[in-house]
Amino acid sequence: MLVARAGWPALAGIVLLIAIPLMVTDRYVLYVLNISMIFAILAIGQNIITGWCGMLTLGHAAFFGVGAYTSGLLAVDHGWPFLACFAAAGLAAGLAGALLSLPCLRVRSDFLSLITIAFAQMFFVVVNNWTELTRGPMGLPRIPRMEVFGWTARTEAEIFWVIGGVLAIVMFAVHRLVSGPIGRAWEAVRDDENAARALGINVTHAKVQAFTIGCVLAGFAGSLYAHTLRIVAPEMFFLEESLIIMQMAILGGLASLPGSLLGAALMVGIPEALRSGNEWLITLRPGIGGALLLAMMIWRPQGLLGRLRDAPPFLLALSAALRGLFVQRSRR
Amino acid sequence: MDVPYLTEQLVNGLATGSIYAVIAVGYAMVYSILYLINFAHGDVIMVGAFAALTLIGMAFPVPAAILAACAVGALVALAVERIAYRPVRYANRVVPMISALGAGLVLATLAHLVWGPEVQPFPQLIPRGNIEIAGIAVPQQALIILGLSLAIVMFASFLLERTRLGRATKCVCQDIYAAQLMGIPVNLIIPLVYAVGGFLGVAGGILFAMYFNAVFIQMGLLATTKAWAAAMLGGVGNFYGAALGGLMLGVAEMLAVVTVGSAYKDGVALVIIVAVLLLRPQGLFGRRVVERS
Amino acid sequence: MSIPRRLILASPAVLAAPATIRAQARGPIFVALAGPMTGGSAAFGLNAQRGTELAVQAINREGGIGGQPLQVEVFDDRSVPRDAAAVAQRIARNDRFLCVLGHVDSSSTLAAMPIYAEERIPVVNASSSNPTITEQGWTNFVRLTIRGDYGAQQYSAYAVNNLGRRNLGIVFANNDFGRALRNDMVRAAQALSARVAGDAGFTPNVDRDFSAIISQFRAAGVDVVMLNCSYTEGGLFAGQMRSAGWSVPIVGPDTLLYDQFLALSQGGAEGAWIMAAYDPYAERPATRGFMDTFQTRFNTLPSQVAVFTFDIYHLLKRVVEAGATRANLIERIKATRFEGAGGNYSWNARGDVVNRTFAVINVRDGRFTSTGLSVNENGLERLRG
Repeated sequence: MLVARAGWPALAGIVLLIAIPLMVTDRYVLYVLNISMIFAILAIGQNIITGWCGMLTLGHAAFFGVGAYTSGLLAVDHGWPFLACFAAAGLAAGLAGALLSLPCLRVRSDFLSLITIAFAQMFFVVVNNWTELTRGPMGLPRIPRMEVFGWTARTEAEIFWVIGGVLAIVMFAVHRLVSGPIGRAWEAVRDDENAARALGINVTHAKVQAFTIGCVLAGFAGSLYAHTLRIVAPEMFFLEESLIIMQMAILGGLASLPGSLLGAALMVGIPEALRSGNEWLITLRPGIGGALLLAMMIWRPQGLLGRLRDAPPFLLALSAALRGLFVQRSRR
Repeated sequence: MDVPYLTEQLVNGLATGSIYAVIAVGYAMVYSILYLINFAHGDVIMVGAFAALTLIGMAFPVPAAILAACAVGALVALAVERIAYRPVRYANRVVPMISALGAGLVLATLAHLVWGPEVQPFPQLIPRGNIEIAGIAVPQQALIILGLSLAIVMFASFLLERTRLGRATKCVCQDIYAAQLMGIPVNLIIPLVYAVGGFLGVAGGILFAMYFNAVFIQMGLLATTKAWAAAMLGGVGNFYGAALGGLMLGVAEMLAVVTVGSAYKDGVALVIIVAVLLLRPQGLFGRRVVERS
Repeated sequence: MSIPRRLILASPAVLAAPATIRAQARGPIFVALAGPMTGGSAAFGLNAQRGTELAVQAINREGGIGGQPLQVEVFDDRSVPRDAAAVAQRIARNDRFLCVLGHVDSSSTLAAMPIYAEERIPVVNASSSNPTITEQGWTNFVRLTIRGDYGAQQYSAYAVNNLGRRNLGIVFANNDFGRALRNDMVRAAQALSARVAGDAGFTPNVDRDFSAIISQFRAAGVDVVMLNCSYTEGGLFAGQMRSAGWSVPIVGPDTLLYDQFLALSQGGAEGAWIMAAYDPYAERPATRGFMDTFQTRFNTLPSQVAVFTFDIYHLLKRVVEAGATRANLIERIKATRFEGAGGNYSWNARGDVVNRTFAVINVRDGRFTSTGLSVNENGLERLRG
């Protein structure tokens, strides 16, 4: 049933995953796809927290960084094999997420965004200054490549398969989660906390769960990133990155798995496509991002690939209100 | 640590703190009415400060240029309210914050296009030099900034307490629906509050530019974080709390530099935000507000 | 095997050239210029582009490299390691480029180098000063700028030996550039028997308020300020020092050698000492020629990035016309002695320039002026060896 529902797209996805590196030989294109997939994992994590569970988190890049640094430091300073670093990265980020979310639950939802912003910036300040551990602003170069049971991923194609494999597993797992009772509990909490509580859902439990799982995914993404770029530096995890991840999730569609993929692909791919040319376009990118956010909120709150039925009710109401504003002046 | 050194640092801290206070007051006013975190406030301030720079550069007399820039800030704030906040006023709180973020980004990019990415020097408008107070040399500039900030806050407080507009604002703060029922033109008051918030914010931004002799695009984000910390410390929505919070933040940052080191100075604001949110969400002077869903 | 410069500068007649050149030059010679063209460090990228423009004009006016026109493609890495790696991938995807000129800041270079090294693309660098770059064992890398640790030693020696100060106040931008300088300065101060009375970092592009640091330094008895940052914060710091009524000498690297440093300081930079990796006021025809052209064309002082970028193209021309190919470009450069707008260059096996000294520039009457002084290196021998 679950497999059947996920059936066709999943099969097509797996075929693509295997075939693409065989068909595409341009290493730059493969590299861009690799980065897109890493960010897709991030966007999915963000989506779990914000899209399915309704908590606005703007510090996701910090957990990305926790994962990246954990993985990189374990590999460089202690010589751990990649798989162990990968697992540790997810664990560390998840732990950080759990620890952060626990005390934040009593905080009003709009304040959670503030705390996550603050945490993200604190992470940057700490990483930048704790040079004994993290080498500070100079970053950690010479991170070894990814290797699985003795086989090292050397070419962009091999890296693609590793990242793609992780992405596939993540998508499958998340799909199971959100289609099942856990996901439904999250959606209930998102839509109306009090009603959810009245239905017997442990709201605290659900929120911490969502936040932690989202952060674990960020940790995994961080590990992949560290071993693909083979360098980590504090400036890779600025607040701006969090905003970009958020935009990916919104653009593609909150609470939509394929949407996360699309959002990530677009927001990584478009700047790359514009790279060699126009200086104006590059300068304008943040502005384009901001305008996109606004436009999305107004006209397509469910994102490019979100299904209207799945769009959080608050977004639907907003969209209707905004359209009312633009179609005819409304008096309040 | 000797007294003259500490006094000097204290005055520094109070001066920067007073700038934070002026900006925080703008935040507090908006938040107190609509419980919205105005993420675009910092960028409005930044645009206003750049406007001031341009006007002064075009040889406008300084006081006129400053007033005009504050008015620009008010206008930009109004525009942001109309486009990004008004439509979503009654929706779930998450959404307007996202659109505020978007508005802020758009403003930052516009500023980048118009004024370029570089830091621009802001003319030295306040005479430098030291004043002797009780045998201790105190920088004149810091004192003047302190004085100006206090004046601005007091003016704003006067507006709030002594004018009909102020009273109407307080009514709207307490209960927006009841205020409407009482015939208060809520749709006028709200944009007006945004405008005043923008006006005050730009005033604070110009003080900042005068003190540090620089205007730059990132000052928006800087203003946002620091003013937020100040407002939270004092109790969000509490006008006087925000002002006090600003002063306290300035002094706290100064303490951090003196004890732990300057690199962590920016961390202070963040630590305060987190600590307040976790330990005492209503801030030092705020009232406990029940969580709304 | 060095051909006299006269011959090279002469007309295309010289290009009855060895078969190696003719065989490989079947079309324009492409060089990839990589650096931050947008973003917070765009000023450096702009300087690289300007140096490129002047060099390409000059070289193509003389017939190009080996008779083929020189064409430069520009890539923007925004000073972000992720983008630097993407740029490297993009450059590496085809064989078009003779070499890469870049990147500008050290983290971007470190992020991109593994890819260039893998594909054996030569990298000739104009501005990344972090010492670790030449310690990674990459054989495809050569740079014209002086290593940061050597620089830090020179700045400290100037403050202690030439200016006679003993209480250093080190201000540094908390990024790879500033922090590395600060670390090396602390070591140098020890060797020079000077005291580090103040040691304060700040977050670049964020922190613009230095009043607390200034008060702290003043109270600690600092008698010379070592300004390890770029011109933006450097200028603001100098201006705020002046506001606070504190005047002690300032010593800084050539990231301060920009007109904006003077503008932002609003007079506070007066008397500052800047150690430049090249001497903009040297009385050599190559330098004078470049400075005049640059000033006329762009109406501002060229930065070290512009000068070294300009020189790199001429260096490439020299080496390629002498028979170098992409495969042996770096070895040939290391074996060359070259004289350009930025002075004389020769290299060691690791790719660093050797025997280069800093020019001492002083800010007088609101302008940068050459002093002709040189740094007294007494005491630094303990660090080398």
